[in-house]
Amino acid sequence: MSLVWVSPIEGQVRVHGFVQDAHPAALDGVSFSVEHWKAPKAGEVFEQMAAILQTPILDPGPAPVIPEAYATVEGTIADARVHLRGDPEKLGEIVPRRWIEILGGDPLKDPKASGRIELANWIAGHPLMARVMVNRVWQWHFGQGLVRTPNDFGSRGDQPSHPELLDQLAAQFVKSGYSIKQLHRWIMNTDAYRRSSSATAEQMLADPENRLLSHYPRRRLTAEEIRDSILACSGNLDRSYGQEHPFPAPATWTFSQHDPFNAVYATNRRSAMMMVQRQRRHPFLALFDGADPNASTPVRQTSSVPTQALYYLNDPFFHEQAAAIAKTLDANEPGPAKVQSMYQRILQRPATDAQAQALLDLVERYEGASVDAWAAAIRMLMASNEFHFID
Amino acid sequence: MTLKTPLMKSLQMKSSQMNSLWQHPTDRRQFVRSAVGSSMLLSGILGQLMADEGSKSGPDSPTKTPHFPGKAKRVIFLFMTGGVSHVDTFDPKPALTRDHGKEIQADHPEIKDRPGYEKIFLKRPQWEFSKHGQCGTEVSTLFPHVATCVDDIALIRSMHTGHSNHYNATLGMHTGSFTQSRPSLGSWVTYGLGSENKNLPGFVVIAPRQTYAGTQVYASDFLPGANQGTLVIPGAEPISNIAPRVPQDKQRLELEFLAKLNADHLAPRSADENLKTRLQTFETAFGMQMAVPEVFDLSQESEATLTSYGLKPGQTTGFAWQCLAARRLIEKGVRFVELIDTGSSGNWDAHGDMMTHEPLAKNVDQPIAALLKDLKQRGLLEDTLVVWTTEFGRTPFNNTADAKGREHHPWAFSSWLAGAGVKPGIVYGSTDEHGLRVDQDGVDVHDFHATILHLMGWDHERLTFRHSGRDYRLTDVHGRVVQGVLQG
Repeated sequence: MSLVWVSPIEGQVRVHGFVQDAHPAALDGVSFSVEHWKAPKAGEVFEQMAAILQTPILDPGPAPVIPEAYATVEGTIADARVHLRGDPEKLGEIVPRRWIEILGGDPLKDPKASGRIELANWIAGHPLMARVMVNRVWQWHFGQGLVRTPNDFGSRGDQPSHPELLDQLAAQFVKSGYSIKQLHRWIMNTDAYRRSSSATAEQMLADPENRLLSHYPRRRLTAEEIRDSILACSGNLDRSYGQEHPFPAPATWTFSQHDPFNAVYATNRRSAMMMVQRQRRHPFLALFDGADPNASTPVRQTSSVPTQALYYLNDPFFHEQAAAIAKTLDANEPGPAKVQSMYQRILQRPATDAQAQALLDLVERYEGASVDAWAAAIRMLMASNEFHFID
Repeated sequence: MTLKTPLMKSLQMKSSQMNSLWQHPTDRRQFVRSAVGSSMLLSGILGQLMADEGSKSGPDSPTKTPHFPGKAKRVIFLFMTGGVSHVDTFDPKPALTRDHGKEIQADHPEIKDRPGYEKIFLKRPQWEFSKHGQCGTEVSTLFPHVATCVDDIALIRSMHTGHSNHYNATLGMHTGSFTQSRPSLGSWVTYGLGSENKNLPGFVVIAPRQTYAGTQVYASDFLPGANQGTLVIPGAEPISNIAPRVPQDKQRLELEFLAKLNADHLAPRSADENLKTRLQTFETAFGMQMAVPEVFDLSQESEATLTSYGLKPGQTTGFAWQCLAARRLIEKGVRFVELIDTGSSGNWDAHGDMMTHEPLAKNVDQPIAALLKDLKQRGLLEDTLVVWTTEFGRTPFNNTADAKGREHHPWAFSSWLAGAGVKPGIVYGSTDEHGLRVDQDGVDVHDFHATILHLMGWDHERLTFRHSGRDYRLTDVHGRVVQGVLQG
């Protein structure tokens, strides 16, 4: 593309440009050169062009908004230098691209290629990948993996509790064409998954860590599951796929390490769609043990801290969700029926007589509008241990 | 660490009667049911919930026993963000004044391949130094109030760090890691020692704004979440969701109902400590709604105290407020309080003009001195460790002799310790005549951390947490305790 511009004045002029889109084949995406002609040499043509350009008809208007996303392209292919003691500023000798020595150290088949695709194919074709993936999915369902060090299947890692099962699942997973959905189905249909979490004293003494899964290991919902469950109960869960976040226009960016980008965008979409920043944890995810976005988090902690309880007592978002449920209650319905529908909606079971009475007592003793009293009861149902733990 | 199973924990905690009941599951269930019926179990739980301040039982109790008796029971960590110039504050360099304008050579990370920095020249300090106290430690006129406290301070003039970027150096000073996120120093200390107050978090960070590396500087990372720093932003609502949204008598009704729900749920699951811990947190949170405003309510402080810190009545922001709030927090048993003076901009990063150090020093000087004197007067300095530091120093040179600012300088800077177990009134280590490099008794960030842990009763090589297949520690594979700053 070339651009002609006629200066309306004689003297020093500074021209700013902003490239909205560029071909990635150039080194940094953009290349340019500047040539300068004096007006007499260019003659009347340029004067005419200048006249045209000054007419409002040709006013290009604001630059078009082109959706952007970060992507990767192959860089310059080269061998890297050793980083002495891991320091990228202390460079050692050049080492040709090849397999890790312990894996044979073979050189690349095509020395002109980067090796990226070979590495990807090697990882995808190695039986370990299927085992690692299967183990992760298992871990999300059971709270702990068959191998409890999901990032380390090597010599320092944990031994699998059920090696044959791990291999069986991995083999099925490969055979199914790596179907994650099938994998979930197999795991959730196991007898082990459907076992109760209550255990006898004998079971607990025989296998204190429950590695053999004599009972289901009770687990708390993850941060994302808690938030999604609350939204699902309130009826406010937006199941649509995430669209781009309302980031400020790139042209306005002046971010630096002194004035870094920092935002939390409110949404009712599933938690997986929330905007995540590497350096700043989303306040909700940070509160409920979400992964540190700047580190690999193979296993999450499950903490119970008072600042979490403060969330259920006072957080505006949480209060809004409970109020939304309270508003759906039919004022003409008798109290006990309302209680049963609330229990069904939030805990997916009927209330016992005593539990129903306890809720009605709360509503009665709670001064003020009845809708506020019901909202209070709903908050506590959604704050309860029963809501948060999978048995 | 040996992880205890829920059952093993229960066995240790229950009475012998309970212990024998465990052998007979049916009896146990009956016992639990009748206990709930007669409120025995419930009152037991409520008793634990309502435990007074100072109680050490419950979920916040120490995870480990210290390796030896530590002199320091708690820490106040004062972090000056942006990089404080050592040669203008705590490290006098007469030769730098003498040699002002002289060209030097240095293979320095900040000038490497940097256009305009082909030549560098020494630049004199802009503030005068003088001797203070019985010990005669020299401090510049930037810190006239802290200078009156030098007899209580162990000043380290030989600090050095691993990186010259704010992000990395700030992360390093807080976590020992200059690249990846890792648990913060405050998280390690709280992980080790727990909290002494059930109504307040063990690790509190008071900062007006975020500093470099964001929330990572006080994150617990792979340590349990109870050990992450709770952020307090000076102002109207210092801790998020602390202000009750409904009157407390109504909240009480809510929590009574919740306790019933949870007791029903717990009855057949009473061996699960996680369930009990979680229900306890609601009573703690209820208490926090009172305890937090109370601890931050400075109206109970005498006028003399407020004046000494430089606080006006009713003031709820500023570093003076942060310092007095820190004293009040540690009095209530909070284990680790970090105060960050500014944020990732408008800080000590004086590239453009060293004179910006003046208002920044003025902001912290009187409050810090008042805090030290206040702690001492109340006998708290005996078992409270006060740490003052920054992420790196500033270059004693610049690219022209009359440049107004200074650049980042990881090679040398000054930090100080005061209080519990610290040798008072000393200067440890030194830099060369121009303050360019450490020339004696260097202390790197890991040594600094090892020394702080030592003062708390921990061997930094043995305070570990197993994560991702290996035992991690704050100091990774580095660090040595700086014996020279310890009391004999």
